[in-house]
Amino acid sequence: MNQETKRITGKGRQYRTKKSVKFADRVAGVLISTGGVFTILAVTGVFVFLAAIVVPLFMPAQVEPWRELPFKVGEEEEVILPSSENVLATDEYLVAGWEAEKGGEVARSFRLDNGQTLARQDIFGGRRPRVLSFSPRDELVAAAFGDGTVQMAKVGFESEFLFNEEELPPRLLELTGDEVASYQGGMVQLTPAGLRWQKLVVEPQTPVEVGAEELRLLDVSMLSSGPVVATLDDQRTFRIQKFSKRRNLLTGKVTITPSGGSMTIPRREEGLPSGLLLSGRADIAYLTWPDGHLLRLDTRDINKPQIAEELSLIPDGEARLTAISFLIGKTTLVSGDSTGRVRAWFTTKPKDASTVDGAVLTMVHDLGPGPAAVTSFSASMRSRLLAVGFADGTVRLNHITSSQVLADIPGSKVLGGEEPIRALSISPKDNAMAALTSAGVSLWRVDAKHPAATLQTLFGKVHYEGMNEPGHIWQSSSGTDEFEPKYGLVPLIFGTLKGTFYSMLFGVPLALLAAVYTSEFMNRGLRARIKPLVELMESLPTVVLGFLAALIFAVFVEGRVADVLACFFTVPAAFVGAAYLFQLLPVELFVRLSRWRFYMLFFLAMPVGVLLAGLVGPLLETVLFAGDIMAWLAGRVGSGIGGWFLMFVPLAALAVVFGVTTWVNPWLRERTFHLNRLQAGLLEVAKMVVGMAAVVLLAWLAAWLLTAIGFDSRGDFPLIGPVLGDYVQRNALVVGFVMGFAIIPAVYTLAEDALSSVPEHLRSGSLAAGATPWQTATRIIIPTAASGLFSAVMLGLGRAVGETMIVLMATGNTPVLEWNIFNGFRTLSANIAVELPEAVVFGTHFRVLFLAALTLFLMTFVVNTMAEVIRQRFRKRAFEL
Amino acid sequence: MELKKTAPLAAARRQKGTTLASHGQAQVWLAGGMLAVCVAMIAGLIALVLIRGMATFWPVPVVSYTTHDGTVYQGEVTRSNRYQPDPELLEKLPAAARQEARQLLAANDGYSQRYLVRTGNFEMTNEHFNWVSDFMVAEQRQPEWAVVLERLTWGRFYGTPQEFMVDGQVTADTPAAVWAEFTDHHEAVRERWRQQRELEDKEIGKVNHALEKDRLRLLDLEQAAREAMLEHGKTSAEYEKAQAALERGREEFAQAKQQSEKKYAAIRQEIDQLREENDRYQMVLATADGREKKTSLAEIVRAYPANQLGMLGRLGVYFERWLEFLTADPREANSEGGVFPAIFGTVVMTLLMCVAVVPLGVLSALYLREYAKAGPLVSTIRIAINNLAGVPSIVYGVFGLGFFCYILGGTIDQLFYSAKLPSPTFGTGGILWASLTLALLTLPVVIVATEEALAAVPSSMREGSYACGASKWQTIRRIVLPRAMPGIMTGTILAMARGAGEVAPLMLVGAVKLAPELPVDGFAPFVHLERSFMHLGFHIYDLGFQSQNSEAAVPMVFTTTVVLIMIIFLLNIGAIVMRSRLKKKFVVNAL
Repeated sequence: MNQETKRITGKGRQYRTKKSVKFADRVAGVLISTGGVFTILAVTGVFVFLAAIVVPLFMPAQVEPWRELPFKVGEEEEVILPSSENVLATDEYLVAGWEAEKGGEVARSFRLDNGQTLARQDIFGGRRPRVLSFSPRDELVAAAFGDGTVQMAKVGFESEFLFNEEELPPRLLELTGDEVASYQGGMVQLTPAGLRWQKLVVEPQTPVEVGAEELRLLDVSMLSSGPVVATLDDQRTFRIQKFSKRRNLLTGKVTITPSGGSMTIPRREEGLPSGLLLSGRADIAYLTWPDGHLLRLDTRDINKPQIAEELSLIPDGEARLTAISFLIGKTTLVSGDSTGRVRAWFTTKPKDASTVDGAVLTMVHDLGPGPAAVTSFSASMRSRLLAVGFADGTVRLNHITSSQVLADIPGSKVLGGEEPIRALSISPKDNAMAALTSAGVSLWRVDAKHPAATLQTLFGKVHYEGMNEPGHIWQSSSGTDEFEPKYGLVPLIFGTLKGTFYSMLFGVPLALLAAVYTSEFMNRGLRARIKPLVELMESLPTVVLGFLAALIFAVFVEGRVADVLACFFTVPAAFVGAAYLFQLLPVELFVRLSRWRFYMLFFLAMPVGVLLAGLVGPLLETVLFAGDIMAWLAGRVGSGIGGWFLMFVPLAALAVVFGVTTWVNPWLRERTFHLNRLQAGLLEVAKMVVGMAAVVLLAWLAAWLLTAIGFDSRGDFPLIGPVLGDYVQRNALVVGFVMGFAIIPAVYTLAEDALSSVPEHLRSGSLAAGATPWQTATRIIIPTAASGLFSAVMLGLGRAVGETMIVLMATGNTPVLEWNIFNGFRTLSANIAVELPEAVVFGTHFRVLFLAALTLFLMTFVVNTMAEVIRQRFRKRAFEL
Repeated sequence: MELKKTAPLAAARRQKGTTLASHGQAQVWLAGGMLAVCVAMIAGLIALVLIRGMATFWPVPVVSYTTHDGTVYQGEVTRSNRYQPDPELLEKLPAAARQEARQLLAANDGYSQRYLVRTGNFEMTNEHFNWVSDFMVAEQRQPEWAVVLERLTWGRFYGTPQEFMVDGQVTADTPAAVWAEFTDHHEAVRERWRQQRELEDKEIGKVNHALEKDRLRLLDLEQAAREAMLEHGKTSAEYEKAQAALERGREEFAQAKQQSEKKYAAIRQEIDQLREENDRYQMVLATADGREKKTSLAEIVRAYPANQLGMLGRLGVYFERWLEFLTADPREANSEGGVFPAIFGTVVMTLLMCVAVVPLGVLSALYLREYAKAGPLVSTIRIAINNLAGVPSIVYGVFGLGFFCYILGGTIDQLFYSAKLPSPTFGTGGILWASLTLALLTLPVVIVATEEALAAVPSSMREGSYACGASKWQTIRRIVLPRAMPGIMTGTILAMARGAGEVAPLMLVGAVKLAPELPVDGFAPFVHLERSFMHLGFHIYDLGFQSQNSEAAVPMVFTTTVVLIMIIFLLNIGAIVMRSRLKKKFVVNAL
């Protein structure tokens, strides 16, 4: 059966598919399917990846128990007894810590792995301080002594590399990367650069006299010019002094001279204050009493301190003030009371303040009640974190700006079990936390994640330090360490919407009307030439548009604002006027010339409109803007009428057109159908002139009315804020114009496609029924294509939302929240382009910028999907018709 | 019944008279006017860019303005405008001139014409440009022997040749003679300068390249030693061994360094010889205010007596400048010289992007159109892909930076380039990541175009192929793909045009102001995917916004724009032509 039939060619024909063909078919099938699916997945991976970077922003902080270092009694030769002073600190590599003993006389450094004492060092040469003040960030301990002197000492860990390997004990050389060992009162660790030796260094400075013996309270702030010391003695005398060092050039002897002032604070029944805090710039001193009373002293003039205000830190008055401290930067005050409530305060400057320095201490954050009285605070050295210790041993980690409790460790899990917390310390890198109780030191590993970014801080109003009121603020970086980044996305989203709004306002009417004209009223030959031209513009790099906008157009507009504004009115008016005049032509000429309509528009009407703008512009400036539009916008000259007038002209024009079509035209039609063409044309011209006059009159009337009531068009409106205001060279007008220009090609192309895909028989039917082409266009074609036109607009919207280069170059990139058309803005996209390269990889700022990108992605994706779904439906319907 | 009938009749009668208003002429004209505005804006934009971009290199005459107070401004007039001068300016004029100036202003309604003169000579005046108003000018002339020098540093120089010096000896001292000497020697000097640059770039580059390789080997050893130390401690055998290897490596490196220093010295000597020879020739020029300036001929890129050039001479300078612009490296913080590295970077990046995007795009389209079963899932995917084309490009840039640079690149660095850490190799912006990012960005364009092309292949052809016993893959390969090829090419070209014009994502993933090395060069492995690169679009942004000498930079921005627009429009027009051919082909096929 299977005999091969011989052919003339000598080749046998195969009836069975070759194995190789089958194999190739299978391989291709698998390859294409996997490749295709993989590619599509990869594209959706963009979204997944962005989300994956953003999600950790909202992860809760992690605080894990790390080590417990109990105080041992009698185990070794050294008896470690609990110290009672509230000073505790750790080094930045988490190998050693130190605490103060004997009321601040001695600093005991200890290992963080087993709690063994490394060294005990006298801080002040064996003298016992009367009061103590410790600022971990400056590694500075200040103390006042019974003899009326104040002494400061630098107590901090310093590292040094040990290179003298021959002299070191062998056990140090045997260390590996994850081991530590003690050596001569310090800790040794092997690092890539060698053996690093961490040791507590105590450097006492020369004691200084403040002029009183019985010092009771003390605080120190380090300024660039030197330390400023605030003290209070038993006689209620408050002193603030600056100590300037002077070295005698001949003898080399250093003399320290105090300068400053003093005052007596008022007597209170409660007794003497229990707390004294001096702000970071030494311009405010706070005195607090146990009942919550606070006295704020204005010390801007160091020689003349004066009382600024008095208030209570416990407004409800049923608790006692038990702890008080500063946050980083020593500006925000945190207070804790006997009910465990923690509040944060700083000074704001409201307009109606009656204090001497115009500021008022305001409670900004309330972190709610706690389980027991607050006993100690520790502020982070690099962020707004605050650790709070309570009398029942509970430890909480808070983030102040976002008013969050990041971790809450019950007292039973702290060494010593429900003993009061005596001291707390957040490590220099915010990666660990230590608590001291009478039983020992407990340590936790801290990963705070991104506490500065919560839904509330990203999208809500936040009261940042130094601001008078809560607000939406984006300010991601600054020069100083104490600066708190502000991640309010609202100004950026607002900027994006503002840019989109103004560009749509300009671009969409232009593109849609142009599309209607191209599809319905233009002859084929010209259409075939103009459409590709506009399509070609779609591929124009936007960097070119941005550069032209910023360097050419913005400069041009700034020179002739009034003329440009006038253009928006005179050019359309010229088109309309030309139409009415054209109608006056005899009908034959009219028909013959109609095919040159576009050329007439292009070469006659438009130039006339532009020239007219040149004439009207100066007139406009004189009549409406008191001769100087810049000064008018700045609010220096003129009244609000001008701005109102311009805003009302489009509205009035719409109203007049509506009135004419609904009342005047039907009324006229009954009476004028017997008129011949020329008469009717003249009537139309008369109508136009009257109509234009009516528009001007109406707009002026409305403007005058509003101004008379007392609204200024440059004023601050409720809900939307100012619309007209100070002129900035790179502004929303310029961007709206150029970005509108950028979206025109896309909108035009899609709209034109939608209009021309309306089936021809609808058009023919309408025309056959006697409708004019204009009636056919407005009543048949446009309603049929409406969803297609809508999707075109949506696509343009998507373009405008994501546009980067134009807004980056042509706006000032200032994140302001106002609709002012003459001011700039900052969009999500431009913000990403500017800031992402500088953001710390995987830091909060980096992830917030990813969130901005994700927001953009979602915004455009939703808009585009809507447009696409509508377009698909439109296509189906157009097909059915 | 009858009543109902009469009502519409009455209405119909009332409407019989058609008025002009129903033709909506005004509305139609308004719509047409909007189109006219669009077209005018497009035409105006292209005209503006072309005119200003093309005019940049045209040599204009050198004008010398002497003001009333005796200051001389000599240079090229770059632009002029009308403005209202401050009355104080008039007060500063000498009394005699003041009256004249007032009359001049009065004749022009208080406006004055002012000229921006590019006066150059920056090292002497600290200014590149000066405004000169017409009422300030006492005398205006075009000095016959004013020469424009384009120099390697300090920008342009305007002056009159005074002396020509060889070895410090004056060989000519009249402008004409100096100029003759200059034209005799300049080409030879430039040639030597080019040789010198060649040596500096290529030969020294080679030496450095070899040395860099050795250095990397040493870094590897150092890292191994460090790791051994951290893992096993300082006294361990492993550390000793690694340390010994490191010592050997150090010695070898020292030797290699010595050798390359020798080579380096030899090349240096050659360069010095060329430089010495070049330094023999100098030209002394006098500025407009009489100061003399000696310039070495090697410093001069181009010189011409601006006021003596005929049409041909001007054209010569013009095209020479264009040639330099297209083929040379930038100078003077990008505001002079050429944009060759930017053109090269743009082209290489676009090609790399094509290599990535075309296979992937075609595979996905084939899958969607030929393999996947049509259903709601496939149409959802299609909508999603259409939408991805509308996702802002900056979002892709963010993705590229986060995923390609930091995650993929970071991993590659850790696996293969750990010795160089913490300075990143692949873990930062580079041409590979830029082209992959743009590939992702343009993928939807290619998929959509390919799908359309596949859909346009009549199903009868597929069925015919199957009927002949061809397998699915054979049908696709021999029947479908060839017919769809022009469509795929169109899509590819459109994707290239879009990719070449995108700037926003590139700002994040690797385009830089000035790249020291091209991404493709003569050293193995020839294509350096990790290098950052220059890009025309980014060049426009950078030059227009970060440049210090912005007056001089703006014309260059326009010229760069012309080049970029040309590339993109050519690609687009190619796509349009191909599309129309494709259409014709299908008409033929249908027959």
